[in-house]
Order: sequence, then structure tokens, then C-alpha cells
Amino acid sequence: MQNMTLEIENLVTGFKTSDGAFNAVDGVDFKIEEGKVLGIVGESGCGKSITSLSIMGLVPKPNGFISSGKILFEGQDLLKLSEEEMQKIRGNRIAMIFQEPMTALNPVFKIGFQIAEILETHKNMKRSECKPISIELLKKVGLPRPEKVVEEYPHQLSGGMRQRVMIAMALSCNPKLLIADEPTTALDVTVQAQVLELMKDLKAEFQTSILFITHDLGVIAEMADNVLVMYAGKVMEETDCETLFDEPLHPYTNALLNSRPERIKPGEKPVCIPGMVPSPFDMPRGCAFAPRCARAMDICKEKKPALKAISSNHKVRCWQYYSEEEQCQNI
Amino acid sequence: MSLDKSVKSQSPWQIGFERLKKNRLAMIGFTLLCIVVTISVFAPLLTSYDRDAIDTLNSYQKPSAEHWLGTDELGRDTFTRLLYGGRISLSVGLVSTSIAVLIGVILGTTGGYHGGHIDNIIMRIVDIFMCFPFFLIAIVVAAILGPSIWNVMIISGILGWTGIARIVRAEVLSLKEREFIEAARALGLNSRDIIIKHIIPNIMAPIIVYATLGIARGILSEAGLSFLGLGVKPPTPSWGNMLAAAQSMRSLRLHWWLWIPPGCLVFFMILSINFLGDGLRDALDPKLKQ
Repeated sequence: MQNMTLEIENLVTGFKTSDGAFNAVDGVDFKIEEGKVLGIVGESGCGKSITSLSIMGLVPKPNGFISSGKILFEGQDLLKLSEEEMQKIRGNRIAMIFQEPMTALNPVFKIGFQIAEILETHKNMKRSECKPISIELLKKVGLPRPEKVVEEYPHQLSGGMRQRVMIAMALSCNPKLLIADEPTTALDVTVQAQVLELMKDLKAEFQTSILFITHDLGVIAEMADNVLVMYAGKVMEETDCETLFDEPLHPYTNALLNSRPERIKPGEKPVCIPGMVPSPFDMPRGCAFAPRCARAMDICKEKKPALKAISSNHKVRCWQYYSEEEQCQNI
Repeated sequence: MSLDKSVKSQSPWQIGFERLKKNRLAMIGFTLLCIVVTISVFAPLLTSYDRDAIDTLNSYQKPSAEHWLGTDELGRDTFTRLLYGGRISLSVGLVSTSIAVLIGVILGTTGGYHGGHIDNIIMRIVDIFMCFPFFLIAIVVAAILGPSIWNVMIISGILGWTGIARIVRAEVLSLKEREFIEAARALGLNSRDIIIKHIIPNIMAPIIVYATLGIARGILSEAGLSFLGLGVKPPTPSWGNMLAAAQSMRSLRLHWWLWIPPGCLVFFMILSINFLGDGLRDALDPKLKQ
């Protein structure tokens, strides 16, 4: 039995709006083993980022709320901790890298100050002790001339450099879990490859588990050990990375794989999934993907399927993988 | 490597002040301000007369080599009183603005950052304070507590924080949605640290601009209240009560040296502070890049 860094059970995160409440994350379960990478894929608006914010305890208040579930981090339920206890975990044992490196650094402070701030907060270090450590961290993430960079402001760095600074900041306290919310989306392809390579190296060095959120299947193939496909706040398919690409089961996963640009032959139109992610106020009665699904059956429109284990490491939420008997029992 | 040497780390502040240096009006204002501040601070070195020394034999002297700006009805040297008056007027401006900025920034950031009920309560208090007519309240308070320089500072500060609270709140509202604030929370900082270390340094520009203009307003209200006899008490000189002392018909007609110099000083001080304030606003606004 491997050590679990993070176990999430039946997480439900909702939002109150003027039009009523809805659940952005609707009963999500997953586990991340120590030193492994779990990738979450899905279209925009299917609850990927809210899942990560829920783990960090940063769901926007007062409209967002976690209505049920457990978030066990090294056996400790994060939802039961006070705000102060959470502050000790954030940035220290769980760190997060954001999507937009251009705006995730404070524009009025030098890089060195911003790294030192984390060390001061979590490691009780003095300002004077922080500088060599900051330089060391920047060197580790492969920034050129780190001694200069600590004295520079964010506007003097390029996007890729800033993302490296963000990674250095996230790693400054050797976190057990790193949440990367689309860390490469805002970067160009060459820098993207470098950043992914860097994260892999660091994972190997520190045995950090990574929760990797992206909508880029290529990045998943590169990084993830296990993959979660999310749609409309629910897990649609859960398996290891190879199985996902070799034998995808869920029609949504298939559709996502088919719409990858590398699948398109010259002169052909790109394949896309018709329709849009349903609005949370207008969820279909049956499977959330049914209106867009090419293989939808009658039962799909009537009843929501449950997540079904096909093999020991492959779960899928689709009526196709239920026998006719099971389908009949449910109707 | 030659590139490395030429790249100098400039903070956003340094960039702003570089830009300010190119604004001629603002620099004129800044220079005038520096001169007045210097001569007020070093007043004892610039004049040989005592501020309140009465010399009734030499009352209403015209400007001369001995008394550069003449003497008043009690034979006190006007130039000396003008210098010392600058101390009072400037300190009233500074202290009242500091009070206003302190209250305004604390309440503005708290309301803007936390939102919800806290924000609602604070903004309603702002609305209530904005309903008070300034001079009426000032006169009532001065009448109850008695006229003194401290009361002028406090009144002016307590009635002047609403504007800055609104500006600060609006800035915080847009700033707290920025990713680096979320990143700061993800790094485990508590809200007090985030407000003090991350939000306030980012809204220093509007605060500085507002504070500069607030100093001008403080000086004006001191002059106004002292003119009404509700501000600084004689014999302590301030520009306002020097003007008040010269308001008789006789003085206005015959003793120009008693009211033109303090009047001009108030005028030029306000003008130069406003020039500087406008210049700062342009220089520190990142969207205005000429």
C-alpha cells in the first residue's frame, strides 16, 4: 500500500448566485500517491480549478462554499482546520502555481523580497538569511544569473522567467503537494516544454506529489501518472495515463482525444465536440454529456449514470458500460 | 554580458519620479514648497526678532531695512511672524492629512478587502460623514472645545478621511481580484499581512496624490478657521490669523504689508502643492506613458 498524500472523498463545492445555487464540483473522489502526478483534464468551466481552490481552502467567499466531502491531506481533514491552521499549510506543505505568471507576482516588490516573504512566514527565517536561499532556489529552477534576478522587479522578467520564479516560490518550503493550475497555458511551446521538464526533475528530487490541472492532453501525456477526466463538475473517467490514450472508454474522453490538433490531416477540418458545456442552472436530467454525445441512448437522457469500475485502475461514468440488465434495474 | 551592466533595476517608484522630474509645473511647485518648508523650519536662523516681542513704540512701521515686511499694531515684526506662521500652517496641513489618510486607508482597505457586511457598515459611515457641512461642524467643535491648533488638526482630519477611504476602497476592490493576491493567500499569508504588505504598497500612488492635495486643503481650512477666530489662538501666529488681524478697513487701506504677504503665501503654497499633486498623479499613473 502506497502512502497517500491526498485523498478526496465526495467533494461538493457550490456557489450562490443571484439566480440560485449550483454545484461547481459535484461529488468528486480521487487519491494522489506520494511522488505521483495526477492530471485533471476537461473543458473550461467543468470544475477543475474549483477543485484545486477547494483543496487550498481558497474558494471565493462568501458566495462559494464546500457543502460536503472530505479532503484528507496526509491523513488530516483540511476542511476541519481553522483558517490559521490552514495558513500554516498553504505555501508550506501544499503549494500552488497559477496560470498567469504575468500577474501572479506583486509588481512593486523585488523577486528576492517575494521569495523571502514565504521563508519568513513559514520557516521563521531572518531577512538576511533568506537571500542566499532565494538565489539557490532560483538557480534550481534554471534561471540565468539568479544573483541579479533577486534584485529585479517582475516587469523586468519574461513570462517564462516569471513562471520559473513562481515555481521557485512554490518549492521554497519543499511542499508535499504541488497544485499546478494550468501552469503552462500562458507560455509558448518551447518555454512550456522547459517548464514541464523542470517540474518533472523537481518531482523526482523532492518526492513531491503534483496535482496537474490542464486542458491540454499533450501536457497530460507528458506529465501525468494518473488522469481524471472531468465534465460539468463530475469525474467522467479515471485511469492511468497510458490506458487513457490507448483505450479510452468514455465518449467524452474519445471526443477530446479526437479533437486534438495532431489528429487533423492536412486539408481536413478540425473535429470538434458539438454544443457547449451545459449551464449549471440547466443541467440535463440524465448524463450531463448526453446532449453532446454521439452514442447517447434513451437511458442517458433519463438517468445519471454512476462511476463504474471496469478494471482495478479504470473507472468510467457511462451507461454503455452497464449491462442491459443493470440498465433495466435502474429504470 | 555587456547587456547586464546597462540593465539597472528601477522600482516602479523610481520610474515615476523620473517622469515627475520632466514635469515643469510640478517641479516649480516642488521647489517653492521646499523653499517655504526650509524657511519655516529654520525661522530662528533667518530673523533676529522674537516672534511675540511687543514694541509699541514701533507699531505699524512700513517695510524697511530693519523690518523687512514692517510691523503690526503691537510693533511685532511681520516677516518673523510670517516665518513662524508657516510652521503652524504647514504642520496643521501635515497632521490633519496624516489623520485623514490613516483613518481613510485603514477603513478603506478593511472594507474593500473583506467586503460584505463590514464594507457596508464602513461605507454607510462614510456617507454619514459626507453629509456634515465642514465649516458648521468645525465652528461647533471649535466653540465647544475652544479654539486651538490641535482642534483644527483633529477636526480637519476627522472630517477629511471620507474621500480617501472611497478611493482606497475602489482600488482595493480591483486589486484583490488580481492573481498575485490570490497567490499570496495560496502561499499562506494572513489577511493582515496581505493588506499591509501586498495591497497598500500597490495603492501608494493614489494615496500620495490624495495626501498631497489634502495638505493644501488642510492649510486652507486652517486659514479659514483662524480667520474666523476659531483656529489658532493669538499670539501664536498662523497665516490665517495674520490675515484676520489685518481685516479692519484701516489696515486693508493703509497697511498692505500686514495682509498681502500672508495672503500671497497661502495662495502660492496651495498653488504649488496642487501643481505637485497633479504632477504626481500623472507621473505615478502607469497607464499614462508619454
